[in-house]
Amino acid sequence: MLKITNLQARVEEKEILKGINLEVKPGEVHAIMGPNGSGKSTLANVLAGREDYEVTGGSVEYLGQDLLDLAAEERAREGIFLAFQYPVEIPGVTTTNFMKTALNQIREHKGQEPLDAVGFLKRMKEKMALVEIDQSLLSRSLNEGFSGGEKKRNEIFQMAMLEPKLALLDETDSGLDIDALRIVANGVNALKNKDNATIVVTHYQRLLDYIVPDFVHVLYKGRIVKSGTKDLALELEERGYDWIIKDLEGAEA
Amino acid sequence: MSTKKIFGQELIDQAEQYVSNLNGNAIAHLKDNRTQGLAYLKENGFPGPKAEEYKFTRLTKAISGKFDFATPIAQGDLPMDKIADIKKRHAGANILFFINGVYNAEQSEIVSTAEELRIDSLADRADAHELIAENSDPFQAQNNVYVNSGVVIEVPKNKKVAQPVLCYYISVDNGVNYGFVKNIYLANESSQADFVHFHFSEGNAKTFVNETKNYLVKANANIKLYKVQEESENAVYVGNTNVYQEKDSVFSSFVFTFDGEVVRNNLNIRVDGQGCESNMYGLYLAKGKTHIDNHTLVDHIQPNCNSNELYKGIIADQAKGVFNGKIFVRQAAQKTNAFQSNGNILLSDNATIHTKPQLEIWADDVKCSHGCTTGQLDEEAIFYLRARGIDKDKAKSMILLANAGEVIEHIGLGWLKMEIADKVMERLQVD
Ligand SMILES: Nc1ncnc2c1ncn2[C@@H]1O[C@H](COP(=O)(O)OP(=O)(O)O)[C@@H](O)[C@H]1O
Ligand SMILES: [Mg+2]
Repeated sequence: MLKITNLQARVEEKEILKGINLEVKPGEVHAIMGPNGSGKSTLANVLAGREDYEVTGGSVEYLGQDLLDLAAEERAREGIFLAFQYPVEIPGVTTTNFMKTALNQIREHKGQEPLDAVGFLKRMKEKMALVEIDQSLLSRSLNEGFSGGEKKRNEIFQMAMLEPKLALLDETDSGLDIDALRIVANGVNALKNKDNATIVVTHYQRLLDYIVPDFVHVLYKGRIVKSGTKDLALELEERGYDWIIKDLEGAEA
Repeated sequence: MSTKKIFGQELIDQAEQYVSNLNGNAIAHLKDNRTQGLAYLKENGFPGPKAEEYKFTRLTKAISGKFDFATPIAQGDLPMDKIADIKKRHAGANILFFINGVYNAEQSEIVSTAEELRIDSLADRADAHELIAENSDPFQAQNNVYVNSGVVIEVPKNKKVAQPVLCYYISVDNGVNYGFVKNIYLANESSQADFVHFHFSEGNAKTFVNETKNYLVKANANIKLYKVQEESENAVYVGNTNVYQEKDSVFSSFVFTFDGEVVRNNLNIRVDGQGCESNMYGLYLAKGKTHIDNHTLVDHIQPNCNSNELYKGIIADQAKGVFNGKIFVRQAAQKTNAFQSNGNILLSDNATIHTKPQLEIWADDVKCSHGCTTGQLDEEAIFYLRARGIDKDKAKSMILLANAGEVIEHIGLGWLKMEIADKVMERLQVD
């Protein structure tokens, strides 16, 4: 469903992605790991359509369309969902109102009638239970004054509401305690089916005990330098990244 | 002897001419106010380009050479359709009409009983001159010279006016218009009322409105003032709202400004009693070449009072905003809590805002804070909304509306809250 070919991107004159290749099929879970600053968030944001990042080369095909041709909101309507590493605080806009607007714009795009109040509330209730999030949180200004864990849970709640085809989870696990991590992972797993796919960005193996990946990729200095199965994540956990970097420099030298 | 330069000589000459043209044919008990106003103008002139209080809003220039203030203008035809529409929309409310500055009793509708609400023409209240503010501002002085019509609205002791009092100030297209209006609001002890003022222009004529509202809020009274401004793009408006609060009273002001060529609002609140609360809310949405200036002053004279101020602006195109918020806390005014906040969003590179908090505190045991923020629309926030499928324009308008909502949510009248929210939404979606 997603085919990234030689993708290059930069921000403010700085090359960050230097040729990414990645293919994701429906039903798959891919984990992207790598040291801080290697370009993981950049990749996730480029896929979601953030305009600060300038794509300088390569292509991305998503469900038979040229993804890079679509605006951020069009991508979301076509089923791409980015769970932000740093969710934005928006005073005066409640999560409930936000979700209602988003859902209805997506439905309008698909030529569907807006969801009525009853239908919307039903969906809210169901998804709130899934990620064990409280109504009171959703009636407050979006992410304003939320704890780190609440923000991440709110991201997964939104994902549950929108039922994306391709979810990009950017460090959704960082800053979560084990209980919160389990809730978030359960939410993600419950939403998984044979038609959708997930890309999990993390630098802790811990999350992958709960969300089991089919493939693990190591991103380093803007390139995927190693790919493997979930065993690669375990190896990274044990040995860190240094050996990969050394191998790589050895190969270059 | 200083040889200070007098600005606006033409306007002063016109004022003098106007007074002599009156030939005694005017409200007699306002004679002193006229004389004193004129004397103030001759002494001080109108604000020049460097006048501290008007340096960003060049009102003298905006009205010089464009009006003949010496000759009273003919009253145009009444906008009967509009009036009928207003009456229908607000059936059951008290409605007062001021057309080009002149009170129209015939069209006005007073539903409250005389026990609850007393309305007299300025001409019929010989005590009126005592309620007219001093000449502390040149436009206030100009207003004092010209005012010859207006009302005194009085709420008797212990009465609550159940229906809101709506005042419609309509500038009717008359070629060239101007109007000088002064109304006086007397809220007696423990009374309560909501006043809603709508200021707008019918048509696009060159217009000048100089308007004064004087509120005397006596002990334990609770008064809310709402002002909604939608003047035409050729209308210059200057308004002075002077409020005098006695002990234990609550006064809340809301100013919503949408349109106009140049709009200047002076809000002066003197808090001269203990246990008072003063609230000042403002929301200005400027587009095109509109220039909106809010100058507020809350003067804490006595101890144990709270004041709270929140003004927000959204400025587009080449529009300009000005905010100046003065808080004075006199030496005797211990235990004052005074808060002020002004937030602005600039929607274009050519939009500008001048914002200045001005706190002068002579007491030592007080809590005062102020903050002002100016920024573009938050791109991060827009991307966040778009990443959920919301289109760019909708995302922008949601964020702006949320911003404006921080002011709107404080409106006490449900129907007005909806009306303002609708106007704001309409405005924010067009650009
Ligand atoms: N908006 C930006 N402006 C400038 N540099 C950026 C910006 N975003 C990311 N970078 C830089 O790009 C590199 C990759 O960042 P990022 O994609 O966030 O890495 P990761 O998520 O893997 O930690 C880092 O060196 C970072 O400093
Ligand atoms: Mg990152």
